Amino acid sequence: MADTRDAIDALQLLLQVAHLQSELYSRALVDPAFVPASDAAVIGTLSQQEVAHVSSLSALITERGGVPAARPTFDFTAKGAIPGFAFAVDQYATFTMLAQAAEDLGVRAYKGQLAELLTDLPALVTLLAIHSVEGRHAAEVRRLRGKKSWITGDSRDDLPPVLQPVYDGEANVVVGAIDAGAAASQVGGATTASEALDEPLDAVRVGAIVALFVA
Amino acid sequence: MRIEISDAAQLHAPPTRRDFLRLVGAGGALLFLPGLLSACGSDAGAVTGTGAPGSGEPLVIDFSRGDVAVLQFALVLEQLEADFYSRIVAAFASSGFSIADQAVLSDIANHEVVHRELLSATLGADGSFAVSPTYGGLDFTKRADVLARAKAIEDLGVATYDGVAQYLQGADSLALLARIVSVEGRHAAVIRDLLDPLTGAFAPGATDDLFSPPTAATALQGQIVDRIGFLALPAGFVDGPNANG
Repeated sequence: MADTRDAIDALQLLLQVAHLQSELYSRALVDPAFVPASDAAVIGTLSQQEVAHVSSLSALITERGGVPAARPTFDFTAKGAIPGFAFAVDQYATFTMLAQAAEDLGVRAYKGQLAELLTDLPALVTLLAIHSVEGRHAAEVRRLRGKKSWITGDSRDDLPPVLQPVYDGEANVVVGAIDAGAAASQVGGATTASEALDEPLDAVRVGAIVALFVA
Repeated sequence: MRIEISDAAQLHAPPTRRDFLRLVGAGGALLFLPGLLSACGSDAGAVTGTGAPGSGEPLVIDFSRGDVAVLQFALVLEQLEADFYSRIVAAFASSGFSIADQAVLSDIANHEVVHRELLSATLGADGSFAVSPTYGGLDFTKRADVLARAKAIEDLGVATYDGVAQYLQGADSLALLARIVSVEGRHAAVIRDLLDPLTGAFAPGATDDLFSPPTAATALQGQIVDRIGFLALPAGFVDGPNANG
């Protein structure tokens, strides 16, 4: 029997991440001039799918006797750390930086909560089905930005310093008793291994990152 | 006790499936999925797999070994992927891939080696094995053909990982597979974007497919010479949101 309280806590955390992501895209789509026509299909797909994730998570919470937490009021300047960001037409590049961080965060956040649902298979299979889609999203946003679609080491690349917590710990390549960097020394060792493996992020750190964007 | 089938469709035909599940329930049915050996040209009849350790059989994945079986199934997939991309890279000199394409594909090739080596090292000598991929005449110099196959393999990989994870008992094993599967999702999106740039193709749905072991093995079987068999396959499978396991 699943530990209902832990399962609901895990789902509520992920719901906050999904709210953050879906609101980022919905705000980007308010002004039709904000997203360049070339990227509109991609951003539109991301938006639709994050809305669907909010619905899926809310349903799982309700089915387990919980009440889905309300959507927070978000502040995408991260309390001023990204000064003046307001989805203005000349700020699209900043938006895609936030989208990259939000999707890379999503991958790590879902991954960090899977173990909480190990005995609640109906919830686990839904989280698994969303988790790998977050990987797809992250890859595509990075591609839009002309970046590699995977995370090298714990590099945030050109993102603002406030987003470094999304990447802290990503350089790990030791899994159980195995050093994946050593196991794959012939293909670039730890650097390649860090790209090949996405790392989980625990609930406290995910919560702290989401809190950066709550007004 | 052992049953053998000749056609994947039999798996989904109710009488066969019911019989199969009853056999599993009785303890220890061995299922061989369709060999497709006769369709593999020069590979016909060449059953080269070493099988599960000491089994003397073609590749047999024994779910009574718990998490080991799930990791072994993942290792089949990663061996296919690593071999597939190594052949793409080897054909670069005569293929139609741009420098940008080549950078992406080289990265993926290296990632798949990491996945294979990590799984192999985690399983150890007792649980590891080698499989022989087969590509049915795929021309590795043709961009569209290669990317179409890559798309199929990456999507299959994601659906297989997402599907088999429910059989894991240990949080460590789940964490290992989860570290890999999101990168497979990244690969799938990039390959799809190479084929259909800047469309919604990178993520065909808000949720990925989850394949049960028989569904995944049926798709995999056409791409490896070794015959995949399951022992003590769990009777139940919890379908994912897309309900196509």
